[in-house]
Amino acid sequence: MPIIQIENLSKTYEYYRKPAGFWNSVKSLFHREKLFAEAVKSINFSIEEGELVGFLGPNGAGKTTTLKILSGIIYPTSGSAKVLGYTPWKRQARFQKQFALVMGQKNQLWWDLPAMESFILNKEIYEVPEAMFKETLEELTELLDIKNILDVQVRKLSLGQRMKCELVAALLHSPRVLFLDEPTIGLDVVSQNNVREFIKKYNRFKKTTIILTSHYMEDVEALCERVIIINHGLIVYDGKLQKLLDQYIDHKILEVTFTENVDAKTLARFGKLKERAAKRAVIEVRKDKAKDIAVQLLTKLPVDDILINEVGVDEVIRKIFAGTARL
Amino acid sequence: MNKYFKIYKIFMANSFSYEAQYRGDTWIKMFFNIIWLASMFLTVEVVFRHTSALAGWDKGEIYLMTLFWILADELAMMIFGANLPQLPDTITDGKLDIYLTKPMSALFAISTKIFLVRSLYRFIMEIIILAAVIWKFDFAFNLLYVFFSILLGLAGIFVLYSFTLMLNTLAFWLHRIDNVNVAISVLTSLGKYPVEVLPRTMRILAFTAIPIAFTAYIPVAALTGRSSWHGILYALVFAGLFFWGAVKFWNFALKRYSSASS
Repeated sequence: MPIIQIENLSKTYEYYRKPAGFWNSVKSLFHREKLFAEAVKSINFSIEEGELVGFLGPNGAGKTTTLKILSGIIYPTSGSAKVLGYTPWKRQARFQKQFALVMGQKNQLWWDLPAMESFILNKEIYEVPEAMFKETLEELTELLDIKNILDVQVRKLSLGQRMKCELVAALLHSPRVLFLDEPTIGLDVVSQNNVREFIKKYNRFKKTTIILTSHYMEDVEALCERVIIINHGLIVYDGKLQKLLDQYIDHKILEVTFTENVDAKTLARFGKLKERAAKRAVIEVRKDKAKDIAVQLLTKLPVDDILINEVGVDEVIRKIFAGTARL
Repeated sequence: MNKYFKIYKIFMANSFSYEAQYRGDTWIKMFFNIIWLASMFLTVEVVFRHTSALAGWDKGEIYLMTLFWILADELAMMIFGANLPQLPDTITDGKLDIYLTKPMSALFAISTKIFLVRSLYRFIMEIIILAAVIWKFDFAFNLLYVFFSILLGLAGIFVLYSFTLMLNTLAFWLHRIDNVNVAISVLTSLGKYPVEVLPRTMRILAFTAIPIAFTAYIPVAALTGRSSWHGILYALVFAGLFFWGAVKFWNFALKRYSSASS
């Protein structure tokens, strides 16, 4: 039986249009044009216990709205959702004790106090027994390597350290379901990798069901077997990541800087020339040939610097739409 | 209940830790509070240079009412005064999200998260001043009246909390209501005067829609033997119903919460 089940879930937000300018501001005191934005449009999906699912989409696609409905923060306009058998927006304590939400752009830790104070608070909120609290805290701080910063004020921690503490705060009650909304946003590559590794291990050992949203394809590639792609509130793909990658990401982008000018004809021999400027070129090459072509460029041309870039998730979504709207 | 008691203890402990980091700030604010208290008493002195009674209340009773109002205001500041005024921002900035996912009352958390420690110091100081006023004016109170006065004072705190909550809850619809807490402060400050000095319509409002009579007037009226049994009963029932209504209104408004884009 699925642990998360969504049927025909929709959410429409109300908002108002106010043209710029002083007089328009005065006018808007008496009359405002009410508009509606459909953030999520009758979506359906289900997730089994222990799955780690990537929930992808460009900004404004409806990812965070869906997570907020699933965690009971907002009410849907229509449709139904069940998480662990509960209707999330009823906000029953028995349900809330079994899930956690981590938002990369919002924090739950007390800013002016050491993270440990927030952990102790969560222990009481979630009624975690003392022995279990100590054991889980030991385990999590060990895994995340943050034992030495628990007594440091949160505001004095780096963004990466803060995110690790956020994860500890969210996992102290050992939730069965974890919603991660862009947990690596703004982190440097080392911290991103640490957080990613942690999520992977945690899912493997605890069998926690995880929904992860991220703009970083690396997060999704490293963690998720299955992805759900949403755009303009509609689910446009729900399936294995590998199938998606095979189907849509068949290339990488080489960004090359030269020490002297290289003509377009020469560059076109290596791949599809996307951009060219004085001493700089962007070339699209087949994914499986990217390393070989980079080596060839380095040996045959006067290369000063070369970068091999992954294709971003936004481009994957654009490609999906260039082909068919629903798979 | 035990869980909430433990959580509140942690809120208090965290607030003490926070305050300890800004001790200088605390003492400066204490100093300005003493000046503010002095200005209150000066107002009473100025009024009673020109009259021997204010709407039937003598100088000592007006001092009592002023101090009851100050104590109620201080208790309110201590418990929820640093929290509820932040509610409009909490709603519009989407910071309510985290509270709504926790297995505890979100209303309890947003109302009590910060315990204003410096208000505790001031409250102790103001209790001492109250004792001095009682001694200076030679008051002798009936014990039953004292009991009802304290009970009604606590009911007054509930009324003040409910009034503040209801107005701040409007932020679910109006979003930017920065001035609402200034308006609350101005309105409730009228509560330190006997309601008899107010015009008739305002007097009715003081016992109903803008319940400013509950923080000082009603408890002091009970203490000085001016209250009838049905008046005391009305005040207690009103406090209960007003609190219930404020919580219902909050729960209703929560359905409108749309969070904020991340």
